Amino acid sequence: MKWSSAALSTVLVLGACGGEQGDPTGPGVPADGPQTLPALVEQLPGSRNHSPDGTWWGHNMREVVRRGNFVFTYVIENDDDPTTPSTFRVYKKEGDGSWIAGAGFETTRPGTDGGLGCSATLTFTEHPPTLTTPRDEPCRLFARFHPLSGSLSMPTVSLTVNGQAVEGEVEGRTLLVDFIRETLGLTGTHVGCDTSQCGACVVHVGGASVKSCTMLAVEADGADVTTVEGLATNGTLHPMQTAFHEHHGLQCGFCTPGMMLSGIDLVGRNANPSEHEVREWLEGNLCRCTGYHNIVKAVQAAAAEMGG
Amino acid sequence: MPETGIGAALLRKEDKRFITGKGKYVDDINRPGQAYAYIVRSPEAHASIAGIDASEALKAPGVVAVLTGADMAEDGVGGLPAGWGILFQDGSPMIEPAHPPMVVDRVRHVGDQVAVVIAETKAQAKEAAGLVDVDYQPLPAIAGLSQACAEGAALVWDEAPGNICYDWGLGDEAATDAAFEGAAHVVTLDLVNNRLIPNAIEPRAAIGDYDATDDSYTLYTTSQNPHVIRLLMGAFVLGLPEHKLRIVAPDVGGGFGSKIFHYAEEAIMTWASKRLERPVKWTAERSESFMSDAHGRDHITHAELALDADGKFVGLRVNTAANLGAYISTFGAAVPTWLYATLFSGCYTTPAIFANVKAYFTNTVPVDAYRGAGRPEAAFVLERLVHKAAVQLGMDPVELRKNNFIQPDQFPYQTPVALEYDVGDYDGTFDAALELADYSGFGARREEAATRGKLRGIGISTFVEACGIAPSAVAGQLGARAGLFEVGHVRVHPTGSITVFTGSHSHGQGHETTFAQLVSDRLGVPEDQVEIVHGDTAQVAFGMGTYGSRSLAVGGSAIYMAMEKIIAKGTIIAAHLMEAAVEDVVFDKGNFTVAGTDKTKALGEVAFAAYVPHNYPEDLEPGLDETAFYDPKNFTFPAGAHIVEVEIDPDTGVVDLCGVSCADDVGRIINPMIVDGQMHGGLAQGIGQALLESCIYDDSGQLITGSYMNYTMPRAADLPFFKTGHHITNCTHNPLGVKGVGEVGSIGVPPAIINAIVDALSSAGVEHIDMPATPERVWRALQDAQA
Repeated sequence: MKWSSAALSTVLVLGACGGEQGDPTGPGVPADGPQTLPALVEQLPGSRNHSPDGTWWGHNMREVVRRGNFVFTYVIENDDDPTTPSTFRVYKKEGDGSWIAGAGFETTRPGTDGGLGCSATLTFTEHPPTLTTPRDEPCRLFARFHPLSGSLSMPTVSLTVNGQAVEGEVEGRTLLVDFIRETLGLTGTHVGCDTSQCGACVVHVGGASVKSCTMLAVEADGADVTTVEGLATNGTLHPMQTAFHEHHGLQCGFCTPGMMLSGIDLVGRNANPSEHEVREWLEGNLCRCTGYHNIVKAVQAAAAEMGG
Repeated sequence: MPETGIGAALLRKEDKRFITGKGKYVDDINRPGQAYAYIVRSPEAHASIAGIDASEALKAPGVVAVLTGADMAEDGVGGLPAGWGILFQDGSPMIEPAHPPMVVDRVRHVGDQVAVVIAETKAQAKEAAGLVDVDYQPLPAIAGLSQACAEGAALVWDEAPGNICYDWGLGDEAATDAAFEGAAHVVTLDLVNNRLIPNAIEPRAAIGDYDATDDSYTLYTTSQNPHVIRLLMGAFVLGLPEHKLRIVAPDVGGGFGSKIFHYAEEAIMTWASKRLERPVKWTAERSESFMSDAHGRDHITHAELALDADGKFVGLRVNTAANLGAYISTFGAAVPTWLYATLFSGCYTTPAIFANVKAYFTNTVPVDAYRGAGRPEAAFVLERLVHKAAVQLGMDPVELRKNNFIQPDQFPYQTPVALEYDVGDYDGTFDAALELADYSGFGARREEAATRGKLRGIGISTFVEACGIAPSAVAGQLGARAGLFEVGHVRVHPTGSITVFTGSHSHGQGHETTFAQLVSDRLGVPEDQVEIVHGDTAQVAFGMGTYGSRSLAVGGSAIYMAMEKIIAKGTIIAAHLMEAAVEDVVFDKGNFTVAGTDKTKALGEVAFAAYVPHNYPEDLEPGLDETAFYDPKNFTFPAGAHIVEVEIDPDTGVVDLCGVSCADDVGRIINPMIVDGQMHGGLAQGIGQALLESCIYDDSGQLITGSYMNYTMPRAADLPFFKTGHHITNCTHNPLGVKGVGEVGSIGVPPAIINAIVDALSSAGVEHIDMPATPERVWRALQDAQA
């Protein structure tokens, strides 16, 4: 049996410890049922995470929409014995938002890869699938999705941008900056290079300045992103924006959004940065117009205004 | 300082959209149904094309078309034109090879356009481009000037023997040779002016949008001069009448000259859009920009200065080899000739000058104007020579310069190299800089640095530059193929607010503010009621664009002249309304007043009457809307003195910029805040040239510095705060008295930096160092001198 190509389903893949082979409702399952993806993502940012009660382990958790036939390749890392398979559960999210446990997941395991873990190619033989291992061990699950033929895997990302919840289908390779500019239409964030030097693409992710050209959109799943369009609140400019205006810290304006967001991050960490500290901090932001003279003054003025 | 009008440090009106992320740059624009283009570029420096197989690319997902130079040729598309013709010394015209937007059978530089893949998404176009199979048959490549001039060198163009495009001369060769014969001293220097890449942070982009309903075309492009593109592309490349071609240059993220030229991609997108009957959008990737934006500088020069026994300059002789790249770019031929050698008088009274420039083709990206465009190259030659002369003659570098300055009572001053300067006060400017730099205190600072084991040096550059291009008749005589006037169209609305349509283009210069200041100063309308429109040929009928520091001098003067027409007509209307004689009515600060009375009419009332002409002069047309075309009488001649102090760590070769002090005569200052900003930007680029930047090709013509990874852009930590001051003499021949400031920084500072480094290292026996004076080069110079 293969996935029915007509069946659009939402599949949540979790790694788990505990539980018995084939038992989707073993002791590893939280009493209130498997949590929905957004909640898990909040608890499980990044890699090598586990749920608060320590029973569920996961990596790269995603809510994915699958069409047609496909193969999942998992790299399963066991902390100790890589030859022993691990337990996984796959859950399907119903239309009403509830989750039901899957069953009937078949796996082939080509062997160890030298001690750290092994990879398994999993072919769903029925819908929804369950993958279990007998071993009651913490493990990490990496999911890579390969379309068998034709249909492209299109993850959906959900994140907050400038305070608004947004969602979009992206390719795995879509850069965050392209998601922001093309999918969301927020063109204030700019692309100035292709080697991550210029900083025209700087945004805030979780409050820290990040080069959005060097981050995949899927990595921002569940994140809190601020772009230049989100700096002003209720029509009142952010002190950094005002400072750039009052100190003539911009000419052509192309580097300006990234420059301001970088500056805001600096001031958040160093309330009263010296000239030298500002210049060093802006190493990742290139400007060709201003010679940085007025940019440095603007950042220092903003710092003073922001309470430094 | 005033709060409004001319001289006010008004904050910029245009900031609002940029600081809120609402700027509209070309890549921000999307046209319904657009397809995306990716250019297939040559990885070879020089090769013939045996065949192009696009069959696999055409099968790739989303691909709409793959088009080549052969397709363009079939459609009768012309080559990209050279905008300025230069002659050999014998009067014969320069060698002008064909420059098709996409090559047909031969590529001549890494990055040369071979084909364009058009697909539904950018990613699909890029992927498919990798599937276009081009059969390159490599040919010997000329990777730079030394290879181009070598005996028996391979040819970039069969029609250009010796790879020479032209061999040009300026000045009196016989008189100069005679001056050298009799000279007490001759100072000789061999110099390189290093090749640079302008690298505006916004990459170039173009959207071609053909409209079948009325057979018209719109091109959105990152250009400094949309009307020039309309002219060149419409008339010479695609054969389109001007009224069917609209060029929109919206917000543009920096240009510095690199966005002047009519580029292949503009023609390709416009043409492809017609072929596919849908919009086609292209945006350069940065590493693509490196191999397709025009580069700058790239000279090798042998220069000599002849002096008499008292240190007066009696002759200057310069021989320059200039790299044009593989093709003649729009202004490429003019930059190392008329924008270069004509500056060899500098501030000085040198009576006999001769310059010979040989321009070479090489298998590199075309070279054209980049911030300063010829004048940085000239100032570098001159001021390095003067520095060396001071050392060689044992004379004080300040005194040597002052003894040779053109004096204020010698203006207008006819130089031996074509230009006639209108006005200047070089002593005054120099003294201002010496004071800013605390030049007299340098000796003590040098001694103190020595106690810390550091080498401190100070370097001077006094220079004149020529900008505000240009008087059309003169330019035409010198080979320009277009006029260089500017247009100002001032429209007073019935309600009294004003819109100015200008042919100038702002890509960072702040015209929306400074031009409004001109209007508020003359017409008395507050700046926030003056709107400046630029960048769209559908809104602005004519223009020549922004480059060569011409916007205020030429564009501003055109606006001024249009305002004079507004005032003249308004005076007639006001006189009628006040039942007075026209000659008794005076206009000042927004009001028409009958002289000697308190009878007055505001501009707004006069404007309303002009559009609702119920009580109106009988033979006068309604409306208050005037256009002026301003053709400058002469170039303008900003001058400056830049003084740089450096401290060098001999163990590492690192050059610390302790002081960058500049006094400049930019003519009348409209907005001092913006003038300083332009100085800062120019200085940063000049420092970049002197210490950090270098575009490098290897011997096979591969572009080694292909991205920001290894082309060193100046960063905030590389630069100090700058000390900028002014010493002004107003231009005598334009109505505003403005000279220009945009390029002054990049012209004046490089020789001051190198002079400072040589000064610092002189005690170790170093006499010269080439740009960029990287830590490694400085360290090696010290090692070599001590060996």
